[in-house]
Amino acid sequence: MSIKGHLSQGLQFWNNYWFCPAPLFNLAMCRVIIITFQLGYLFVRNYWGKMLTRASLPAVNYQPLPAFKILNYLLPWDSPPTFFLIAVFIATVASGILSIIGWRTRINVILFALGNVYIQTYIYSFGRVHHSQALMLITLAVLALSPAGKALSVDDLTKRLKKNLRQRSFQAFSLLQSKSVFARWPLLLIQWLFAFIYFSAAIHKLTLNFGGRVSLDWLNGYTLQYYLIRDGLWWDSSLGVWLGHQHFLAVISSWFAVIFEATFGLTLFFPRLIWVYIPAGAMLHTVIYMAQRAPFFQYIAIYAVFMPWTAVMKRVSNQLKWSDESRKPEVFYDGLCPICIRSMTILCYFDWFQRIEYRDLEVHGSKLTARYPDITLEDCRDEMHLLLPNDSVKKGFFAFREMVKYVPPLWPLLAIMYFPGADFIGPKVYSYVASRRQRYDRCTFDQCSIDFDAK
Amino acid sequence: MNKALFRNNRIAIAKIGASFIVLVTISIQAYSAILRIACDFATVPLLCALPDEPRLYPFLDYPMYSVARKEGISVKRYKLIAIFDDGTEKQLSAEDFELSKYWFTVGVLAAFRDNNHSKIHQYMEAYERTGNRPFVALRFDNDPLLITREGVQEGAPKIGEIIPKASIKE
Repeated sequence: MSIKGHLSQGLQFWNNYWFCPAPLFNLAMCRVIIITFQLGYLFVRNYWGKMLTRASLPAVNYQPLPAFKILNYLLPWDSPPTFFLIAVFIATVASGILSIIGWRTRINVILFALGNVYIQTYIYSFGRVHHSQALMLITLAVLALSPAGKALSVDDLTKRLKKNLRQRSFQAFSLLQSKSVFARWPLLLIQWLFAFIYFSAAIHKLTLNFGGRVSLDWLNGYTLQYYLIRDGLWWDSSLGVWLGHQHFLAVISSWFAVIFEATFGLTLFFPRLIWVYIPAGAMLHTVIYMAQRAPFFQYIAIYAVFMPWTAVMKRVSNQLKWSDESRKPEVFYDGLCPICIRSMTILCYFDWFQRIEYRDLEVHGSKLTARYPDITLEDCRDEMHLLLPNDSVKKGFFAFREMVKYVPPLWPLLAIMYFPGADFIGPKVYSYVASRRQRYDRCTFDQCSIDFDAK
Repeated sequence: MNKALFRNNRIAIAKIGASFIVLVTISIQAYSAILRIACDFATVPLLCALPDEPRLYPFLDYPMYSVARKEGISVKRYKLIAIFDDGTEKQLSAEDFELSKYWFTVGVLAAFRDNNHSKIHQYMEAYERTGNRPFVALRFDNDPLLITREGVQEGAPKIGEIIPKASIKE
């Protein structure tokens, strides 16, 4: 084969590996999990206090890292004043919250990533650099450059709502089906970084302090005992001190740690191994924290990049189909009412397990009235009707409340819907809104306008 | 047709951009985490001349806890003892300096271990600022634990020299 042929084959492989269409849902789940974790971490580890403490230290302690110098390049100071640090912290927290809900996601994730890099590199510009946050900062930067806001976001929901209202119709959809050629590379890249990081840890244990000689001395058990007792005493961890007294356990744990770190990269080639490596890694970092207080919980949150969220959701969804309630509840909504189109779009957006059937009254209403002669189409237009698997019917507010039970991401709403008095107030609010809703005219050949903007 | 072409071009350009990010990120991480280890084996001029951590932060290598220890290794348990004018002694702790246990260990005790006069002076000033009972001298002891084949045992305590307060200078 010619050089050109090899090159073409290589590019084809590269394209297929990094840019194979993948579910946006996976990326969006990672955005939500990782940013939620990091936002909480800023508060739990008191980053606000850490910044202000360092701001009050004498200037002699300040040795800015290159990354911090770059971020400060256009600013009119060498060492940022306290008011600016406070502003950065507040802006970072605000952008974090907006990134989680997915409002103006791209810009907010970028701001959140920049804010975190700024805060962390500022703190580390005072002498001590720790490892636990490094991968998190790279991950946030990668997420900022990815289409992580194209699903599970206010941005995406708003786009779908606008589209449905413009088309004056609601078509049931599955969020899990949305794919993009740019949804895979960010997750794969972080997986590769994990493999490098763990491999680095393993190879250092087997080589570093022997003048370049490979040695298994680290696995002798005494090494791990030493670190466990030393850190256990430093941090008042009785578990660390106790484990440090168990030689056999230390030998086993040493081998486990090194094998885990050295072979973690196999998950890139055999993805099924994540079901072994991810729980093992979560356990490893938890025990390390409990015994030695080395906080690497970020890694457990970032493990989200390995999880095939869409496949898991589909599997759960399939299993639910085979459960006792094999029939799905059917909601009959007024397809000519903008509010109903909006409600169904929102409901369907969170119906990840596809547990509800959506029926346009104008198309399927006769089915309901045929089975329930005492229900008229007019009744259905007045309020939403839900046909449950046990053939009972719920209406209006109670139909809505029942539907929420089938949609786990909306379960927090149940707390409000079952609040004392909700049975009385809920139907009244529903009637008030329903009585003021608009309706589109029924579409006929010469009545319906064509929305050229939608083309 | 034009729209489709524009879209395809846009996707192609975005793929080139993403590929660049992937290559750069993987290269820097691979260099800082793995390739630099080659400098431990032999001098590789080009590799070893490039910047290392923390200048490449957040791209780091991960050598934590990597130094191997042998049977008989001792775990040092440092104690900082304050001696008062009536001859009584008190083991100082993190609370006496209003520090966390971590900063007491890596700050105060490390300063005595490394014999860093400047830091010792600063910490002692901080100690007195907190309104603690004034001392006349300090002693830095080590009460080690030995990790042996027979188990973990108490090692022989090492009593440090008495450091008069007047000798602690910046």
